[in-house]
Amino acid sequence: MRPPPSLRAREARGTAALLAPAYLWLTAAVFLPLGVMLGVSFLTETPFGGREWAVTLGQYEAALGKPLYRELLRRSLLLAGEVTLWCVVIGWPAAFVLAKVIGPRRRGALFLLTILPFWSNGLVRVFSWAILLRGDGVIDRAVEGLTPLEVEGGLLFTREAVVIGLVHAYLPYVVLTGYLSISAIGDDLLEAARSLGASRRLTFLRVVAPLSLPGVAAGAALIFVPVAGAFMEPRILGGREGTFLGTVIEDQFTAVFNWPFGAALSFVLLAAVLAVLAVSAPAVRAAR
Amino acid sequence: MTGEIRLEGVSRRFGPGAPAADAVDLVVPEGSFYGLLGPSGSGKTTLLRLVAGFETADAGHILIGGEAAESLPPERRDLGVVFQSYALFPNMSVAGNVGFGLRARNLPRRERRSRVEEALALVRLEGLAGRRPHALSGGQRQRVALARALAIRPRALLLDEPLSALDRALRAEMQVELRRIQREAGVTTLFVTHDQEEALTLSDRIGLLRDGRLVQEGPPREVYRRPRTAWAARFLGEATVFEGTPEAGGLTLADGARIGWTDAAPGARLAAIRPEDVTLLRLEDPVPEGWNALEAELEVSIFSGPTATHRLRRGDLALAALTKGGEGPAAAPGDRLVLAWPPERTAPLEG
Amino acid sequence: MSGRAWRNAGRLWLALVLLFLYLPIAVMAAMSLNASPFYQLPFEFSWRWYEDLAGNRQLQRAAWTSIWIAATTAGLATALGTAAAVALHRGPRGRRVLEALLFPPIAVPWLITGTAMLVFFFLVGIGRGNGAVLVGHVALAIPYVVLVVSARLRALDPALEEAARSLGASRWTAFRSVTLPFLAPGVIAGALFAFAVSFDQFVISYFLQAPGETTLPVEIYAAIRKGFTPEINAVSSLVIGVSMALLLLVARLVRFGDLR
Repeated sequence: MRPPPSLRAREARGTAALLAPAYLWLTAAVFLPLGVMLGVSFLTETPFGGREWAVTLGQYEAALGKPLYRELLRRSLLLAGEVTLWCVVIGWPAAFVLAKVIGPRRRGALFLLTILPFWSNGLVRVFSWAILLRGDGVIDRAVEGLTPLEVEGGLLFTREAVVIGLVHAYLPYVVLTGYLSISAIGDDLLEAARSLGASRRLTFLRVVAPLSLPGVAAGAALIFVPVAGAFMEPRILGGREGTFLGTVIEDQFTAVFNWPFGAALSFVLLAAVLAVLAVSAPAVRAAR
Repeated sequence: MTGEIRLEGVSRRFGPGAPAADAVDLVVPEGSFYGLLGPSGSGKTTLLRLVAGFETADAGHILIGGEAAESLPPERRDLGVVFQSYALFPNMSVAGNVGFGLRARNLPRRERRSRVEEALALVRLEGLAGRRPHALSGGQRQRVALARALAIRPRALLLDEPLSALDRALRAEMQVELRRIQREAGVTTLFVTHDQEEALTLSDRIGLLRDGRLVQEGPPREVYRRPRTAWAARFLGEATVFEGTPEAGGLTLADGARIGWTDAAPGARLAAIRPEDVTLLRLEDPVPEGWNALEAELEVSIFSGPTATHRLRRGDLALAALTKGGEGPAAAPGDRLVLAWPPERTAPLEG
Repeated sequence: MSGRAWRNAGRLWLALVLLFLYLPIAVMAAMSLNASPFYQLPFEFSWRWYEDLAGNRQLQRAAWTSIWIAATTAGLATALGTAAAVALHRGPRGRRVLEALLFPPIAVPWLITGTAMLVFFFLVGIGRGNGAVLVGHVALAIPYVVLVVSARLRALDPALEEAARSLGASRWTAFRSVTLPFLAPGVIAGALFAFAVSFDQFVISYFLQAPGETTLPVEIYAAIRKGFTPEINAVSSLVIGVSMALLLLVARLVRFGDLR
């Protein structure tokens, strides 16, 4: 039985009233700013302080045309790809172990332990790697204390340090999404595979991997996007080696004060990231 | 011998409480269909998983085709397992599912294809090789699961409540199919169910399992006709159970009535009779010579189409009789009737 | 390899992953208790860096700023997010679109969201400052609250509220007496989550903060860039301790499996 129109209309109004505050807030704080920034990216000058400005495509020409920025974009995408790959290689088996090897009694606690750092302060975790990796830092001292080797330099302010810090920061994503999708694979499927004579390798390759691929791919996308725009981790761990598109964008807003160019670089980055995801989506689907 | 399954003193315990398997001895002869029947929690699935190798026994031996299986992991036992949920791989087509075990055995592609076709023909699903499992009906999924298990030409087939997910009409059809396929493949089959009718219909032999112990086993007819305990009598269909003082060839109830039997069962204090073996008579009807006869008051008659069940009471004793739907004496609740049956139908019980 | 060997290899793998995740944090915490300012070993236990913290007015002010912004964010985001989750659960028209709109705030790199907020707030005259930071934090926290509360709502038997209404309760009474008590753990978890999101947020704060009135992460970042001091170890250890404690509390209230 359908309620009479008046009742339905009243309920719809109530629902809308509940939705409005949250979505208005999101509009004012996220969607409008993103839209405005898109507009700013087509201006010649930062539209502030009474400066003269005009509409132009010049910012995008500069962002896409200059070899320096193309190189930075390439570096950022490569970094994102590398970090994503390490996270998948390390995190997928860990997710499988959590979901299918660890007994149910300890599983919950261990799962929580794995994803806990992910929701704790990211900046502080990056800083903790700086302590570990700096020249004359804890790792150097420990190696010197335990072996007769002389260590110098340390890993801090290298690209490797940036990769390590980012993998540390984003690894729990793959563990989380991988764990959820592997948990959804019934034990009966794994038992069926074994009863049919499949080795563990075959079972993993033909059953577990294809069935958990969508989850892991989602986790990988969630890593790839923010890593491509990372600036804080490269600054702390990379030093001079830590110049990526993200740090250059930050500079446009905090140091150079060239908002239109920073905005254009941001949208170039976003478009490139989305393009990579769009290209890899069919590959993921085909691999199933 | 190649397909015989033999369990010798197999025990398995999970934590405190009743063991899931308690010193079970059981033989599934080569080529036969063995139905393991028990209520939920009786340990029947554990027993099946022990044979399949998904569980390890605490004690005892499991022999498949005369070969000790304890040290073999599931993937090397060569058993076809059909899961209650079917456990079809959702990412593979029907052919991919059926061919999975052959791929695991590294069979060449051409032989794989012909074996898959053969297995699909056996379960009559020839046209569906390219479908994904989610595009199949429940009955079709069941057949794919069966074909997948048979395609590896297993030494034996293990079925875990394979029909429980199907609706009633489909289940009846699949029972017939299952039996046909098993005969055609000639494969030794161990089958687990909680549905007594299903076990009786399908099996060459059935085993009754309770709290991890094998209580009784034998051909279905024998186990049904001659249950050994009151629990077995009641679990395997409906039964009226009498308790009394033993005497020669029968027992005397507390109210003095006598129940006779023809079996040699000296000292038995319990006996059972199936409702369908009872004839309902009016008080004035003659009782056939030598039959047992008990007078009781009719409480209710439940008509259910082809049959009608009549519940009667004699003091504390509840009795049941089954007649054809339209037959039996015309009687109303409160009327007194006589239940009569030949003594060879009485089953004396232990305990 | 046998099954046991495989399983042990898997456990070892997981143990190494956990070691990787926790080792730097543990070392940082240990060094915050080491007397030497230059990470000298052998380790010599001392509270001196924490004592120094007690005298550092700047960090204390930053801590208070972080806490009140996080608390306000938690209150606002929980109210708005819970209302939205309840409304979405009723299945309004356009529900899929509305749900999809929750993801950009989470998925767009914070660098881009943060700079976009900076640009927009400047152009509309809000400018930088704690007000702007609060607006940004609430926006980031709302999607998380909606997700946590929605997960709890999905576990609610719709027959409960229907039963209440068939017994004569108004929609509001049914909601208050049946749905809300059931939702409480999800709402509390959502609030704690929102607090944690704001308390740990660095990027958005970094772009929106006016100089001089910073939150703790921004203050720590500035200190790190100036140079490493064990005092920063101490405050960082405290910060990570607080956020982990908060999330353990969340985990007690919702099972993470529900967050699918």
